[in-house]
Amino acid sequence: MSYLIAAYTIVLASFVGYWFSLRSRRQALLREAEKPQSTGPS
Amino acid sequence: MEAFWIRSARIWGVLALTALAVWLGMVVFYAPVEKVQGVVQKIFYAHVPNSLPAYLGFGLTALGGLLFLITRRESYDRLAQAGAEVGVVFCTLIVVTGPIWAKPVWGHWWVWDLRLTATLVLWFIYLAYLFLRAFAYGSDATKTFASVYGIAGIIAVPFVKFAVELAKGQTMHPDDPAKAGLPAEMQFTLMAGFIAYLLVFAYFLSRRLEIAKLEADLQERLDP
Repeated sequence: MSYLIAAYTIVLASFVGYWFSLRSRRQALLREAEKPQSTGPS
Repeated sequence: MEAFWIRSARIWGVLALTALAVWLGMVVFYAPVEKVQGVVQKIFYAHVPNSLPAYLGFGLTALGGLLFLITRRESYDRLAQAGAEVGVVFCTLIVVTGPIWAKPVWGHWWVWDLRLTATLVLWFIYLAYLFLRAFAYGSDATKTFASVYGIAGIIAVPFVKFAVELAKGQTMHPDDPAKAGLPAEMQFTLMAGFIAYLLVFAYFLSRRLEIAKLEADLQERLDP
């Protein structure tokens, strides 16, 4: 039974973990994209 | 094509969550307990469906690489990269859940038979692809090399798929479940697993493509 629980926990935790990683990367890039573009030294 | 995947991410996400809930419900309440292995046999429904998304991801890496070499369009290179990353996630799950099932059934975490070894090699091939992309970011030469590598790596997929036949009985790994004459309840639960995992794959791929596109747009803005 413990092997069964371990296997399903690993699968579901991996899905959630990868989803969270994608979400963090996406949000960081969207924040970066929203920053005003530099026009160089004034 | 890329725009379609990025736009449809939310839909894939909702479908994937629904399918995962149905699949888990079927594993717990519908699939019968196998007589010989007992309840541990139900790892089967978490292990086997990883194969298709992994092969699909690596197939997209090869296809994206080939189309990039022909057309030099960046979107194909992004497809190749996204396919490899998502494919490696599922291939990692094959490599991890397999031993968890093997230990109580075979008495060993790992045996060096053809199917297991070929799967491990496939995992290393595309893990190396990801390292290549991570540490040699950006240049056209890197993209060309990665494309060729991604295409060459796909040779390992049929080798994994047909390893049991190639081993001619000299393997502990069971043959294709479709040939095993499973009861209908087991077949339906396995099918639900394949559908759920493929929808999860589609969601991850669409989000990963979006990230690659955002990275490319930012890079262009910083270095026009």
